[in-house]
Amino acid sequence: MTVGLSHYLILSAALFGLGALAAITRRNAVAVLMGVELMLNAANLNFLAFWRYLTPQGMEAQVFVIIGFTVAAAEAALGLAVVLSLYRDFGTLNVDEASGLKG
Amino acid sequence: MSSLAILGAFLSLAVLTLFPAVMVISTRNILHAGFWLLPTLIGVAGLYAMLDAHFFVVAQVLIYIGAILVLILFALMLTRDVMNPRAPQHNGLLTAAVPICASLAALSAVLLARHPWPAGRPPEAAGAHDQTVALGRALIGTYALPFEAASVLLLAALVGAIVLAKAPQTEPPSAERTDCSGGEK
Amino acid sequence: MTSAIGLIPILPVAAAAVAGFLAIIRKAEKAAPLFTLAATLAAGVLALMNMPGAGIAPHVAAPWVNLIPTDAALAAPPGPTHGMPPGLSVVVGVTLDPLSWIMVLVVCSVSALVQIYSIGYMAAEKGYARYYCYLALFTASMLGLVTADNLFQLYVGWELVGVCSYLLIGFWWFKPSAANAAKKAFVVTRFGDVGFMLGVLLLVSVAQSFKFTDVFAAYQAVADGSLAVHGLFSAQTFLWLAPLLLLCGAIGKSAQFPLHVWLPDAMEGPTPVSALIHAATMVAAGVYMVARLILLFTLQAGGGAGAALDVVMILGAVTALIAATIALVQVDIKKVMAYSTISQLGYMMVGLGVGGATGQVAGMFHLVTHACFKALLFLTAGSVIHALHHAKDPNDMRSMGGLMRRMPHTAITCGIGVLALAGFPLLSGFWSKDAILAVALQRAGLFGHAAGAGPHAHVALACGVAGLIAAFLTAVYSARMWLMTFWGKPRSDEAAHAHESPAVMTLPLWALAIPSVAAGFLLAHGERFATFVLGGEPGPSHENMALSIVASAIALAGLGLGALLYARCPAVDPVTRLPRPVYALFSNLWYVDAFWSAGVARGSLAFGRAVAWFDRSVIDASMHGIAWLVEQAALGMRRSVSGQTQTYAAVLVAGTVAVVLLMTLYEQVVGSPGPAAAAAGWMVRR
Repeated sequence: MTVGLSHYLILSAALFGLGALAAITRRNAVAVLMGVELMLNAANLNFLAFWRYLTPQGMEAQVFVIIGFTVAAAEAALGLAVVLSLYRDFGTLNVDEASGLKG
Repeated sequence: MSSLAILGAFLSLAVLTLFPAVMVISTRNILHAGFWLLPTLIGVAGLYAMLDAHFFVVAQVLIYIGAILVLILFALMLTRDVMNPRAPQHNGLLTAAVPICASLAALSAVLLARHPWPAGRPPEAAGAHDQTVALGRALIGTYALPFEAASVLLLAALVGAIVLAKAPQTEPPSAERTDCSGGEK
Repeated sequence: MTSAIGLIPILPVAAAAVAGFLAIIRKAEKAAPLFTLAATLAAGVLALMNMPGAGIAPHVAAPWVNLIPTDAALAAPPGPTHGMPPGLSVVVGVTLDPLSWIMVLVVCSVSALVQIYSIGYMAAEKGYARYYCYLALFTASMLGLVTADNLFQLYVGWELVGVCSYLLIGFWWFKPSAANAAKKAFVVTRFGDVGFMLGVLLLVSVAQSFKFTDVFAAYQAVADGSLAVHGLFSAQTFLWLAPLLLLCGAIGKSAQFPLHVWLPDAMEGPTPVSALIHAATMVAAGVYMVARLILLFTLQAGGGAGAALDVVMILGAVTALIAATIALVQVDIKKVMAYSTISQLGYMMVGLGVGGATGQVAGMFHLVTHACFKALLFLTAGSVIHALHHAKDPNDMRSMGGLMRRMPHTAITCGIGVLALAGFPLLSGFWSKDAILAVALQRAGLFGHAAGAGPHAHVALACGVAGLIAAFLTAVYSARMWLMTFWGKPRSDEAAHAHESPAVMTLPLWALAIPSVAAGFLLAHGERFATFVLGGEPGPSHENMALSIVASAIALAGLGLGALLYARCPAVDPVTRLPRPVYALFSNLWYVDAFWSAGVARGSLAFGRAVAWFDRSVIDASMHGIAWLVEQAALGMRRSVSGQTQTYAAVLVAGTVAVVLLMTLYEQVVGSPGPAAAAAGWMVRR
């Protein structure tokens, strides 16, 4: 039995699910960011797996992964800033206590 | 390398990736959660290596671990005394979110696994040197525009982060001035 | 001088404007009658100076509304006009043919006498100039109506006299009863006017012209089959529908059964107004209109018997009989006269129902004589009421009596009017009533014979007999009214201390008493009248000695019965001794008013309430329900907007899973990509 594309896809699906779970359930804003990072990693893993198994001669997937990295970095930088202003405005880092959008 | 060895490597890397991810979610100590992220990222880098994506193995280690994870850990350590470790670390959505996310993962896995992908071994990939050269050419050639767009995004994010992190100026200037001056003296 | 006849309706309008100005500035109000009287008399003199001769009818006209289209439209090929004539023009003016001329004289003379009389009657009233303004306006409207030679002007005058009637009935607008009576008169006549308007529109749409002569010609052409009727109706339907729609207007205006209910209530207005409008002139407008357009009714009959004339005649007879029985039991002197007026209008309709020139002459003759003696009777009633105006109810005959000594002029002139009304031999009412009964019974084959177009013989017989019965009843209630008012001993202090009215009021009484007596002789028993109306041709003689004797006997018997019952001034009114159901029927006005108020008015109210209920509880409620639903939904949705971003994310993920799951299941079950997947694929292909 060889390691096929499906293995990577299933693995990345599991990683994405875990990341989503972290993003949804963790109260701490930084932990939410960590969940998002996990999801981005799963996406990047998918891109590279598809590249490797389907279009090893093309460059599109790799360029997408570069952009994914960029987005992750931007998200981390912005996330930290958001965490700081969250703390300043609400005195907490718990996302569920910051409900300014409540109708 | 035999296929069995490859399978073993894949499985161990999968465990290395998923188990710390579970710990990231479940651990009470938020700082520990940050540290549990490290093996996951390393595991992903290993998977990249198995996929012959040499450049991204390096990039993963440099950017994710060297930059992003460090940034996150900074944030955690800066706000550590704010957090009460005895308070619940999960909101009330846990019981609902677990099945939702499990079904998401399961559904994705089933759908992706069911698809008849081309079977057998993948074609040989280019070597690390050629690959990186090709990527570099692509980034300044065919895909210059997306690449520049990404860099503009990054720039905008940095500017935005600075603006957000700066002290707000929303209070009436006069009152704030007196307060600030009084506080500083 | 012919062109000056255009001033006949204009002079009273100008006088009305002056009087209205005086009423508005509230200065020199006593001068108002000078202007209105001068204008009315001048109009009458102008008419006298332009008497129509044989085949000559003085006529002035000016185009008023000209709907003739442009040359380009005329050059276009003719297409369907949808009932709107391409070259329809409205001409207003004054036409004095014999029929109009007679009406102008009647209107001017009665109006002038009423205005003189009102100087005394209204002396103490507020709104003196306003009163004269309305009177002059009414005179102008009535003159415009009777001098019209086209349906348009007739209709305008028709509605204007209705408005003046409304204003004058409600002259004492601060009395709720007067305001209600004015409204009732306006609304009830409107029922008939709707039919009248539809009739006018129907005729004009077929004739493509408003002129009477064109309308007659078009009607004749339709009857011959040489003109087709386009639109909703067949030619046959048009032929009977058009006259009957016109008749609806006459039923409302001339207070015919069953729309007569407004006229007794109209007695809330000042009594001289009742004399002018609700006895002599306006209520006769319906009769005049039918007489003017009698050709339509006669043509409908073809060469033999026709339904339109039957309807006219039956309606007249029913009205005459019912109103006479009601008049028998009334105790209000003006109500007696009001029902008497209705009854006599019914008589006129019976005469008109004979059709052709015969019926036209008979009906119009009675209209003229009735205008004289009924105006006289109302003015004498006004004189009595004026004398008793301190009494609690000055109109109640039960508190009168013995006024003969106190008010001799009034009593004698009233007696003359009563005798004329009752058809006492050789007085004016005798001749005109006789003429109507003669033409009706001759149509039925009695006292001579009449052939040609007209109503069915058995209808004419029934109506003629009804006319004879009504004549008897008329004599009885006339005698009753006069004796209860003037005979015996006073039954109240006010009656005992009443004074004769001033000369300005008694002189018009005498002025009207003369034609009431002599009109029959002056017009040579109606023959000269007939000759004049028919434009120089001598009319067929309907005199019949046998019928005259029968009619005289009936009138004398009625008067004798009345005298027998009331000459001793019994304490209990003998009519109350009638069999109870009969008396109840008469005193409850044959339940016609009750029918209208219970059946129609209440029915309309109930319908209105039902509609209002439907509006509130179904239409409004559904709107409110939708608003409530939206509000509740919004309140429910609001709770979902918790501000918890993580909840949003959870829902987002769950939704994605659900959609993908559904798409997958669909594909599994159906075997092909579902619509959502197809749509997604389509978008991807784009």
